[in-house]
Amino acid sequence: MALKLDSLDMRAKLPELPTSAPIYALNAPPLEERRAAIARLSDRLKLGTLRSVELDHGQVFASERGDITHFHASGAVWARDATASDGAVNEFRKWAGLADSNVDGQRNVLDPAATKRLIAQARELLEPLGLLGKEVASVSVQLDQVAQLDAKGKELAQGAGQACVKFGYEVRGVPVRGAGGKTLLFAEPGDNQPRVAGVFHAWRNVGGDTPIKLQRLEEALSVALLTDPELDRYGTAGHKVQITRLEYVYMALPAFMRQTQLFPMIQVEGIVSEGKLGISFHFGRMHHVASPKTYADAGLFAPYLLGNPDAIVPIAPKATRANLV
Amino acid sequence: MARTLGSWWIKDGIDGRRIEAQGFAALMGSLPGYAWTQDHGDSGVLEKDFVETASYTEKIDQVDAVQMSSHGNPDAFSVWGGSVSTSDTIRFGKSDLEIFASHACHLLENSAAHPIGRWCGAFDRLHYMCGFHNSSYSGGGQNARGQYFAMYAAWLNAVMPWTPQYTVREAWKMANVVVEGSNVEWAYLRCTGSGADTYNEKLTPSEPADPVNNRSFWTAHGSC
Repeated sequence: MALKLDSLDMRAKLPELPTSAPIYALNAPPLEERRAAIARLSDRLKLGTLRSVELDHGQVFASERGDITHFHASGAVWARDATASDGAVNEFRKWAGLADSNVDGQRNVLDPAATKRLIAQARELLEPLGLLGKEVASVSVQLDQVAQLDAKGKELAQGAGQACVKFGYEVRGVPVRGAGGKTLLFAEPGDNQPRVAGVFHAWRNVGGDTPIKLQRLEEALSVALLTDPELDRYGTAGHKVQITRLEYVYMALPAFMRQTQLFPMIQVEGIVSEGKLGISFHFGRMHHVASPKTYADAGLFAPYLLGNPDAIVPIAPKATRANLV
Repeated sequence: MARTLGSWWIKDGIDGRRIEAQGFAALMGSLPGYAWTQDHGDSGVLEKDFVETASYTEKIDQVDAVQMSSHGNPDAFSVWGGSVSTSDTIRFGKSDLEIFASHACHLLENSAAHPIGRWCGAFDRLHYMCGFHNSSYSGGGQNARGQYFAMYAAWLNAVMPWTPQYTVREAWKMANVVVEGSNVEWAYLRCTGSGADTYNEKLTPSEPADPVNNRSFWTAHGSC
């Protein structure tokens, strides 16, 4: 039996789905396009002489001081200065401009001035290298949250760790989510300015679009969320399925996966209650909102359009799926 | 003697859970000095292999490092037909286990409602619990999490021996940066002690010293 929208304990605002969605062509910057950026990143991170090895997932350029990977499938770049934390004896870092946000679980933040300086430093490094997509729509700084506990688990001290400057992306007002839609710069406190410890840039070039039709919300959710094999199993056994997040997004697959179309998904978070099958648990899920037939009718074909990228197979494919057009 | 690896997984209809756990053990086990010796799925994921059981050596403690894929909440993770919770008697590391990595959501949440010290009692001679502060995902390319954890923890350094080998905590963070969106937060809890500083611990073929004296714990969580 498949879940019904009204059988879910909906705590999230239902998204408004457009009647059609542009599916954007994507292309992965090849290594030749990234060579200049890789060379300048290597200089900036003082990695020294790099030796290169081609692996299944990418070309790795490395020295004893760090490494830079170009992912074949996406053109993503992952650069690390392995010496940036040398000398640290634990996770605590002393940041100029550290402030207390009073937000549970995220107490340690940089004040607005320090945040602005770190973002400016990140832009100054990344933009000339072509490592920020023009679709950047958000930027923030997040500090690692660190705590020291005694032998019995009582907190002795808490503070900040490494910083992460996070750039997020949108395409025509729709947020892009997933591991392949972000640019991150990791930083350590420094004498004059923070020291760059690493850069992760995963963003494919966005090209022209092909529109597809979308169904009404419940039909769109029936493509995958309401036929999720796991949620159905727990729902059928009497567990309550609470939805705490339901957002219409574009999906950017991880850097090691080939992706030539930017397609819509529903980003879902929720909680399954304790019951006959076991404990209460939290879940996070990405699900399609358009069927394989919809993509095929638009002349769009790819393995990740045929089904879930992680091969989560919807239940009840017979009658229900046949009705999805 | 080789360091040994284990994989535990409950699919619950999603085969990616198996792929994720086995991916770690398979890639690590392909390297000289490591061996994949335990693999347990679905009905083979038994509570008695995690919780102290009289006259029995829990299988989790017959390996050095584990990747587990099952559900969780701040106080428990699921096993077949049950759960392992902070109220159970858990003695991870009493025989061998040093690294326990799980994708269970919120397992290592550190908040006012759920201070992370709740898990310290599970550390006998365990060095690291790796997990998440909030919800990890399935369905967006996360099947490779275990494989990338192994890659950054040891495999890249084995293939390219002039490169830096990343620490356990860095490898967990890097793997999750690669597979998760930036709304997800990796987390870990580590035990350290006199003569066994785990801050820079790496997953190497030789057994590290265990933190047994003057112990304290450190935790961190941050953006994927």
